[in-house]
Parts: sequence; structure tokens; C-alpha cells
Amino acid sequence: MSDRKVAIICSKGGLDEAYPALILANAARMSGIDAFVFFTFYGLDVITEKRVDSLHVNMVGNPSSPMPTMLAGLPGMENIAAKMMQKRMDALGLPTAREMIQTLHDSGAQLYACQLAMEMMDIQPTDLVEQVEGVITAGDFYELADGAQIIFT
Amino acid sequence: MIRFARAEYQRSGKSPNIRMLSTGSGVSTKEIYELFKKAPGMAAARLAGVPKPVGCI
Repeated sequence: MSDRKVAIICSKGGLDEAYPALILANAARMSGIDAFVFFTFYGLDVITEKRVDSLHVNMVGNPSSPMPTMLAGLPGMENIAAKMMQKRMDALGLPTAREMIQTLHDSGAQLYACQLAMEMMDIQPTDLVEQVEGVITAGDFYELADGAQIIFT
Repeated sequence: MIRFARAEYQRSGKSPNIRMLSTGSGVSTKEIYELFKKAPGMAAARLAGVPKPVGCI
């Protein structure tokens, strides 16, 4: 397909952490670059059927947050922050995380889940969205990433 | 797709991205990537004679 290849590691599941990985992967495919994404640790939320539609954004300990940390930690605040960010993204016409995953799949990008993280968090392969290519180890990742530029998010 | 790209450019002054190309022309994202193996948005824009699409999505 292409000479260039990117391997993106998505290790966090916040809205603000998942989107950069998804958008970078999609932009790679749009530019004719081969792409695959490796979801590990909390990044697994992005490809977990029950979690993908309710990704949150954490304002606690975030120096760029407009909200004081003391307030951001109150119950429900994370939900409000997520709703606010989602609203902005909807206004911009950004696709949802689930749509992004479908688009990535259709564009030929490959999505993989981390085996160790799945065992740690007791996630079964059947819990993942159907667009996931497979469950792989860190070693498999390096094999797949041969010749690729690696991006960690 | 080419007709849609031209129409969209004339209407809005912007070249459609792949997502818009798909919803506007009825050709699925998968088919678009099969038709144009490399950078489909740019290839479609080139064939339609419109500037390359701008944006991250």
C-alpha cells in the first residue's frame, strides 16, 4: 500500500487522550500512510463495547483545566466536563469515538488490543468492539511495527 | 464522487473530506479506500479539479 507506516500506542481512555490517537491514525490513512493502533491499559476503554460511548475527560490535576482542581474532583464533575467537551466536538462535526473506530477499520487501519492489559483488567475478547483485528503481545507489536514510526499517546 | 466533490466545492468553497465524500455520494468509506489506494481525499480532489481537502478528519 504505502512505504510509510505508523504504529500508534493508545494507553489512556479519556476523551482528550483517545481522540489524538484516533485522529492521528485516521489522518495517516487519509494521507496514504499505513496505520495501526495498539490499545493498552486504560486505552482499552476505547475499544471496549460497553465503554466506547461513554469516554470521560478528567480535569483533576490538569493544569490546563479551566476548573479549579478542588472543584474538578467533586462527584459528577468529570461527567459534566465530558459532556461539555463532547458538545464542542459535536458542534465541530467531529465523529464519535465509535464512528472513528468504524472509519479506521473501513480505511484499512488495523486495531489491536494488548493481551497483558486485558488479563489485568479482566476483559475478554468478546467484550471488545468487532473492528478489533486481534489481541497481541508487546512482542507482536514490535513485529508489526517493523519499519513504522511509533507514536505513544 | 467526482460530481459531488465539484458540486460541494461550488456550493461551499471547500473541498469535501473523505467523510463528506462518503455521505454525499453514497459510496462507503471502505469502497473509497478500495478505489483510491493512496490518500483518497486528495486523489478524488485532483480528479474533480478542486483543491485538496483541508482538515484532520
